[in-house]
Amino acid sequence: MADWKGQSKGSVLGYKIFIFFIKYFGLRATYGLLYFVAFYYFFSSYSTSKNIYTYYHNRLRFSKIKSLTGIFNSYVQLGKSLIDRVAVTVGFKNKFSFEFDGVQHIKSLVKEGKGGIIFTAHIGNFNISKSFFTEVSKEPIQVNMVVTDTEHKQIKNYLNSVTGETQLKLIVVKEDMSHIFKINDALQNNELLVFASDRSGEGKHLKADFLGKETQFFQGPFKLAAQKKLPILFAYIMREKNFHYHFYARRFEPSKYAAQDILMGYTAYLEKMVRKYPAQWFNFYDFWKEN
Amino acid sequence: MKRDEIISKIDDFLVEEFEVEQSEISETANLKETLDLDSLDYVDLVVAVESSFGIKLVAEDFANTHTFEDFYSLIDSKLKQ
Repeated sequence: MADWKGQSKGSVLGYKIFIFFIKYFGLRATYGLLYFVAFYYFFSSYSTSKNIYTYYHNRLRFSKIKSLTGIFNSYVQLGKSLIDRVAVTVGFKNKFSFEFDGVQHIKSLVKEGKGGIIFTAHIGNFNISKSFFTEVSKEPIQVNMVVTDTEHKQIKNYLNSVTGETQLKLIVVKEDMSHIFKINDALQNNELLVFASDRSGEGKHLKADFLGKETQFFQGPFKLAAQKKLPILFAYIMREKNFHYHFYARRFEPSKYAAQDILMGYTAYLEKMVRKYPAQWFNFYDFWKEN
Repeated sequence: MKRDEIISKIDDFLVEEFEVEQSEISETANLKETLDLDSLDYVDLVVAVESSFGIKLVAEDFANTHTFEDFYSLIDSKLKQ
């Protein structure tokens, strides 16, 4: 298993069961279900579990026992993120509390009116960011999240039917190139673009050390930020105890506006987040090509 | 604008923006492979065309654009519209 294959686990039936539980039994009971699901994946998805184990043991230097329990925790945390994503849009938003760390950076980015790129990652739960952006500014902030068309269409359609259309404006990278024009329009309108930039796959890459070993990242978002000299923000939304979410945002001003420099800044800050919230980093493929 | 002028102008910004040698550009060469374009590089291409020629490209324009010849013809036909 080398690169990320562009698909996530799950089925429409699974989502239906969870949404039924959220609506009729509440969040805690739904979280309870997750432990059975995590147990199932722990044993049935050998290659995925092995990649998670490698992440904990080789990269974070956890003991063998702690790495094994880490696999289970990662599955549970991913499930909680997905459940929360649905819950905030089906009437449970008040159940959650939110904390802002660095919100002034978002405000100043919006005030500058030059647009910008928000670099995030497959960590925590950026899918609930609409809740944060509506709290940050009374004026609507146009945020465009650039995503690859990864979720199975059936799951996506089902989630849209439950949660309403997208929480952010999504720009889907497609073969027909339509995303290019949407990105271009967003840039010309000085809107914010969000990229979860901790992935690799087919395409051009940059390399950087991450958690003690060199690996590769898609170069596109970093090159785009460098060439356009766009204001840069690193932002993550992390899940904490008792239905609490913590929003972190940090402005990054590279000494040289070069893609590699931006990547170095990105990996340095992401590494801090990963070490602080190790079970909330959701790249379950062979990220360092170690397996 | 004459076709030769269009080609010359396009080649100039391709050499400058995409770090490709003029010698690598030929009418039959594949645009994507020669310029080593990934999905986001096309944003630069669209921006460069807009700023150089004042024309706006749409997604469908790239459906049949494979070679440099196709690209030159696309810009040429857009300018004549």
